Amino acid sequence: MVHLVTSDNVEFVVDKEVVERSVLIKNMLEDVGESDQSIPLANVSSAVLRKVIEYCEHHRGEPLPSADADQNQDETRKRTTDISEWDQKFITVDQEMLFEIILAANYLDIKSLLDVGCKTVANMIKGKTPDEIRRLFNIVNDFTPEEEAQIKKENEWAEDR
Amino acid sequence: MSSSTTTTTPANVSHTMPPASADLATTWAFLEEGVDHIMTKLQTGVSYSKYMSLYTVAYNYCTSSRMHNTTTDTVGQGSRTGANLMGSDLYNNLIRYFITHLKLLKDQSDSLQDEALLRYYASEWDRYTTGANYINRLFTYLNRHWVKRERDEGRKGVYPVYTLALVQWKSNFFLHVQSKHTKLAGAILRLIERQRNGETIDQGLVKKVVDSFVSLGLDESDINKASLDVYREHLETPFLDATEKYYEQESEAFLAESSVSDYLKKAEERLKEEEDRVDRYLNTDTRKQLVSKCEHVLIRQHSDLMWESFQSLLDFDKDEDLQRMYALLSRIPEGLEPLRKKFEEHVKKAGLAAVAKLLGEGSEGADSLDPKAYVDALLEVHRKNSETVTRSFRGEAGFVASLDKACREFVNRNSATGSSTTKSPELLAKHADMLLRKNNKMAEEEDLEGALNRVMVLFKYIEDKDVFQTFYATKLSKRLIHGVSASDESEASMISKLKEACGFEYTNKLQRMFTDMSLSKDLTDQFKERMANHEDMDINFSIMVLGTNFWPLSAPNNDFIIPPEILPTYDRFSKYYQTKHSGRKLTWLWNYSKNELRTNYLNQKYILMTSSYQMSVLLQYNKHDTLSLEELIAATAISKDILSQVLTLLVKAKVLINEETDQYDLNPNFKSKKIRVNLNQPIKAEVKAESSEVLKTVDEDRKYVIQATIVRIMKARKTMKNQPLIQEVISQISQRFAPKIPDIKKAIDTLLEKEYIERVDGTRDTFAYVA
Amino acid sequence: MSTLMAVTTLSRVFQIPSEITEHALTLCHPRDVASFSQTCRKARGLVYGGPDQYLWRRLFLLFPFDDPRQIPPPFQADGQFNWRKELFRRMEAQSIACRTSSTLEDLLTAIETFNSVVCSATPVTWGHERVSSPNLLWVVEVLQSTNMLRSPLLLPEWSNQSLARLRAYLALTLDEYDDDDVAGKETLRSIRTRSRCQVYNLRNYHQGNDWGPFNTTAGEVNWIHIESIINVVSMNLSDSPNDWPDTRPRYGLEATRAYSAPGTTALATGDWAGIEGHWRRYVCFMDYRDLFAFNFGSRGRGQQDSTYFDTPNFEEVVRLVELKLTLIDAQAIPEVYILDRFPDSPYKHYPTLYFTGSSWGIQGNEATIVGSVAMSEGGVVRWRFASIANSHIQWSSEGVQIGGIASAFGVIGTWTGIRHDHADPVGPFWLYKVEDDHPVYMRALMDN
Repeated sequence: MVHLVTSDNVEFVVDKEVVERSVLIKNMLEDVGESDQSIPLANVSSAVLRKVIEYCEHHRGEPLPSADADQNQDETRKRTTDISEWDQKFITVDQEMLFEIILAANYLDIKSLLDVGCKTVANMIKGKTPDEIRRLFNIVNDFTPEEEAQIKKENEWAEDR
Repeated sequence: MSSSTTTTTPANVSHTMPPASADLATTWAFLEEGVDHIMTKLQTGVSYSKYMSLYTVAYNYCTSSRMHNTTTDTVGQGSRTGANLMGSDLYNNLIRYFITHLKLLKDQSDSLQDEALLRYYASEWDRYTTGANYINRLFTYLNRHWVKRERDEGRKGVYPVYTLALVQWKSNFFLHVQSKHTKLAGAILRLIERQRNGETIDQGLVKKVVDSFVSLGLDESDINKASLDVYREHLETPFLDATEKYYEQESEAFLAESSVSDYLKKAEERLKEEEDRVDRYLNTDTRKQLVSKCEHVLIRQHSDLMWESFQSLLDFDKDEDLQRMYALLSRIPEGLEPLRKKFEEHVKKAGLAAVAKLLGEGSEGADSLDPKAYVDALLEVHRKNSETVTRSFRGEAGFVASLDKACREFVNRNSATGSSTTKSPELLAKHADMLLRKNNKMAEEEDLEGALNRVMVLFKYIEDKDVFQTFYATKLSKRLIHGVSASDESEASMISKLKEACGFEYTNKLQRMFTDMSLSKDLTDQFKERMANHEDMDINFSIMVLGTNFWPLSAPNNDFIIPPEILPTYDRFSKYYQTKHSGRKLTWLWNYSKNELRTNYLNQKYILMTSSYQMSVLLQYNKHDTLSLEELIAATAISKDILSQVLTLLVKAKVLINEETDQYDLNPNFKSKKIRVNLNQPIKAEVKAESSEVLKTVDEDRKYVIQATIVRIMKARKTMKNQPLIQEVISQISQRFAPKIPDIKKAIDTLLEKEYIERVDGTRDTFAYVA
Repeated sequence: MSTLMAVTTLSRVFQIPSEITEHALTLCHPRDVASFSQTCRKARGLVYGGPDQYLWRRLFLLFPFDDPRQIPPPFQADGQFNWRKELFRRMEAQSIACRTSSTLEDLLTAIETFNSVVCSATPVTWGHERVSSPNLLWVVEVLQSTNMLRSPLLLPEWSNQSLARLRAYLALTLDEYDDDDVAGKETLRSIRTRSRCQVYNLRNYHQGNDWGPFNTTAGEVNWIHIESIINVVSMNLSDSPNDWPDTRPRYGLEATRAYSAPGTTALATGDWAGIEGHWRRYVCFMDYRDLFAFNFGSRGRGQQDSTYFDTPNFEEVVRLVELKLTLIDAQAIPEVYILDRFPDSPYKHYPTLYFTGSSWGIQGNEATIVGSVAMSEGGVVRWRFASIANSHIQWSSEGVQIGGIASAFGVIGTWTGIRHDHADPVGPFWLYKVEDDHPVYMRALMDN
């Protein structure tokens, strides 16, 4: 069992196999060796860690991507934003939580979870107009009219008349 | 269950973690302390919180919120943020750290030499690479994003942190040590030399340092690929040079005071030793070059000497040395060729000497050479040298070829054959004949099959295989008609061996002879059965009917009056045969027939075994006691020349008495120890005729073979020029005999005359096939 | 301060590391990325302001398109590949194909783009023979879904080289019509007639084009002629589905990839063109009298009359020839080789190769083949060979490998008399490589 302490000082006790979906923690246990010290996770809050552990529990035992493989694999793989059913349900959260999960996955180095998060963001953008995207993400349009004209020209290649 | 392997030392966490928004100076100060701890004091342990804080600070710096809060972004100037901008800050600081760190090692190594230097280098290498592996993982985020991206964009000189650590080791420490008279590689080479001189060295230490040379290699285009460039430049090349020098000196010195035999042993050991060295502590990639370097110095440079001493090793049957020399020279290109030539010459000489010795022993000279002695002498030379090839030269194809070439030479041309190419096949055929005869001592003494196999060994080398064939056929026919063959089984075995060697056509006639024999036996039985009711058939009669084309027998060229005593049987059989096979012509070979006569004129009854000529003479004495030569000629129609020889034999056997010239009386007092008296000795004229008759047959056959071959070739090619045609004929026939060019030309002329081929209009030397 | 306001209202999208935002963008269609870039300055900076091509390379490769870096060196574009520009070009071509308002000029630009996308498909590699090229899948998908090639604007443009080239690569795969599609059938018939006019016009064969499908003697391909040959041979073959049914050339875009021919992914050294092995060749010809009537008939007065092919007793013949070819040393070219030598190749890794072999035609007629293959300017693989029967050279052929080196598509070309006499006939051929155990028809007859 591994003891994790979140930024808001909540302690989680998790199966080693589950927590090792985080490559960060897996590597550290390998390098430093196992002990009963608790592991401080300065960048993750308890609310988010709970979600992350739920994800890791569900995917326990699945093979981890090897360090070399992810170098080239991406580039030969077809662009896909398909998400499995369970993951889809799991990631159906408010935007705040979505970005928190993405940040936690990035910090803890859990590639598959980071992918689920990014795919979700991509799916949100997909097929929308700039205006719709602004509304979706609460983006403020800060272009001057001249810039607006220039940017329209810049994107002519993608126009689908 | 987990077990604790690290004890936490809370003192390590004295620095508090800087906030996520900390600037580079604060951030790096914190990181540097941790990095240095891991690089220099790893043995005191690292706590989880220390590890996590270092990772987190590096991560935060790469991703800190500062990344999106610059407000003056403009397109084109670049809003690259996050790990992509901050990465280079951390990366450059890491480089600076490594440089400072390695400066210390540099200084400490300056005073060290040889083994002490190697020990220092190896232990620092262990410490450094272990630490660098930690650092590499702590900076995973840097590797995953900033480094990867820089590399994807094709920027040279940016590496993942662990590789960076090695690159820095190489340029700031390794190259520094090496720059001082290649101090590091030199220390390794000196240890290796001491080991070559027989001392014991710390091979593990050498291996560790050598492995570091390999690790330091870097393939710029693909850093995951191993590169041996550092190893090659700094170790392999000087090592190979040192090896060359070492063995040049050693082999010169060794040969100056030792024999070639001893040198062969030494070279063999050294080669093995060097191959082992690669396994023990060098990179396997070096094996090929090291081995070829050693082969050059140890073998190639002394190959002349080895070639020179080869003959004496052969002469004294130094098997082990020969083996060793073969094994060594086979490692260098063209190393064996001179040995093969010498060996061929050696075998040839041995063969010629064996025949010369045989001739020297016998007083009769080449004409009456004993076939068995001749064959045995040739075989012995072959056996001995064939064993040498198998044992010392591992049956290598080149030496087998040399042996074959030499054997072919001395088997066909030696002092017994002179310039005749037919002598050897004749003697070999005669030897085979003796083996296959009944009551052959040889067959009793040892395995007949083995002896026949040995005949085949020499047969393989015989050039004029058609001569052997003709002699063999003649001898076989004699064995069959005289019923003196050892066994059908052995005969069949020999024929199948010949068939295997030369093909179906070669043995076709021989096989037909056996067929005729068995048909004749049936025929005799059937005839006897048919004649059983004729009471006057008191003559025991058996017959052989032999196909003219298959048997090398010739009909008598003199007349012969069939004695009335056997005439009825003769007539009956002729009639019987005609009814069975009408249209076939029977030619009676009286000169090969034999008879048994019972004597009634003496007290003791004898059975005289005679030839038909003897029989016809002796039957005259049923009515007369004395006859003159003229009377006998008139009564038998046998030519005077042959008859006088027949009579001489009978007189010699004391059946007849010749007291007055040309007057022959029956000897009333004939006596013999045996009841069965064999009078049937071959007459001289026949014996002498035999060999030249055989050769004449061979000549006739060859003419026919050449003509048939030309026709076959022309039929396929339609037109052909003279020269290529002759070449083609030679190549097709040489399996059976070596055709002479004038014979081929003569055959072409004959075919032109017979209009099988014609000259193409307007050319002198082009022929066309006439369909 | 207004800047403070901006910070407090900063969208969550910009509160995650930019490398993660970029990662999410690479999973979007390029069009969505364009939309995103138009939301605010920060977004625009992220998309267009990068100091490197990271985002665009990822968008390009994940689109997916073939990686242009995997194309063998001599044919790779010089210098750094401009991922963004090339992706724009392709997206633009797709837009042109989709729009109904595109001008002829737009269409021809798009066609050029499609041709270059076809040519930059990566070679087939050993062990991945069944993995399709994303480039080619995209071209087919765009053309099929938009029907762009049937635009009325393109109809009169059949003699445009770029259009003919694209049509040659497609080899009528987009011109399949149902039996009851009257207009479609009519289109095919007119394609056939114009293709025959092109192929059997003796005036299209002269010294200036090596008596082959070229514009010049330097090997500049005449795509109109190539397309016509493909049309003539393939329509003849679909007319006779029962003749030699188990051997047909592979066509369509996938067949144009380098090393897609059977057994050529692991080529023997020296045989860069994949010459050694078994081949099949379809040869077409008109009755000699028809050919002359068509070319010199009084009706046309030297001007070929296309209605000639509609006469009921007009006949064109297809013959199958089976070949087995082996390389020979450039020094060992037989005396009978009297063909012109190709000029030295500008690519030193692709020296001109020479070959010989046997061919078996109808009734087991056996002939000897000699010839050569050269890599000429622009990466065009040229074939030139002659057949020798009864010990004299009869026919010579000139052809072009369609697509990349050792493509499954094979070689398209024409044959004429060896001496190119005035009265020599001409005809098209299609030569393609097959597996060693490919069904045999001609050789089987011969063995009996």
